[in-house]
Amino acid sequence: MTKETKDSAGKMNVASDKDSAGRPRSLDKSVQSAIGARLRAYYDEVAREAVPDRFVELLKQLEKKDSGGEGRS
Amino acid sequence: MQVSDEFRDGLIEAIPSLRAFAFSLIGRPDRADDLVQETLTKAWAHHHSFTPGTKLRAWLYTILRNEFYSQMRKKGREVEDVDGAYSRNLAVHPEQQGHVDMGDMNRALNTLPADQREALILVAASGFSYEEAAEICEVAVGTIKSRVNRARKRLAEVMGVEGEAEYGPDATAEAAIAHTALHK
Repeated sequence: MTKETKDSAGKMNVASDKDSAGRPRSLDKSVQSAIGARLRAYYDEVAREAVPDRFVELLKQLEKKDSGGEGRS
Repeated sequence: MQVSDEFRDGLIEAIPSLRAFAFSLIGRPDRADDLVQETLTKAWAHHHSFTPGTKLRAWLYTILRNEFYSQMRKKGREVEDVDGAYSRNLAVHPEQQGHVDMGDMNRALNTLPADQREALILVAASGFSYEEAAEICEVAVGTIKSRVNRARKRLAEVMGVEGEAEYGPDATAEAAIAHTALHK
């Protein structure tokens, strides 16, 4: 559903950046999905990596401490 | 009270996602991983305050976010200027495969105020709903929506992604603001 507004000359203006209530219109869908795709690619670069050893070690240490072992702090 | 296997497994499963979120907040892989380490340690220590069956990932993100801001406050830094704009620009994640220019994205994200940046990442990259993001950031859903909207617009300009809705009297002002932010 397209929101249409009229400019001062009374012409229909489909690409206005405010809707008829004066609220900012959301980005064009194609722009939104282009941004989203880049963001997810950026995010996934990190999220796809294998879990570094330091975290595996950390959880081992935390578990050891819990069970009263000699975990180094 | 012991940490359950389920809880521990949930932590492990969340690590990649937490690292990605931390990196998007900080822009430096080493410091991002430090933040994740703090988060996991805190989560473990407070496991009793997590209600099993509720959303672990959102709970962990909340801890990470709070830890991030608390560290920023302690250092007395402007969150927008984490470690200086230039160090974020240059930070490259070790295993990048060249599918996206991390430097470009870092620079673009750095033009956003922190509240817009985190809202955008939570909704558009981490896959949270507006409602979940609102809970994590402790603001109203409408606030998140507005931040995400503004963040997308700013990114579109900074990254040169064009769309019909962007031409208008506000475009010049926004570009000027983005320009100023880049050269602060």
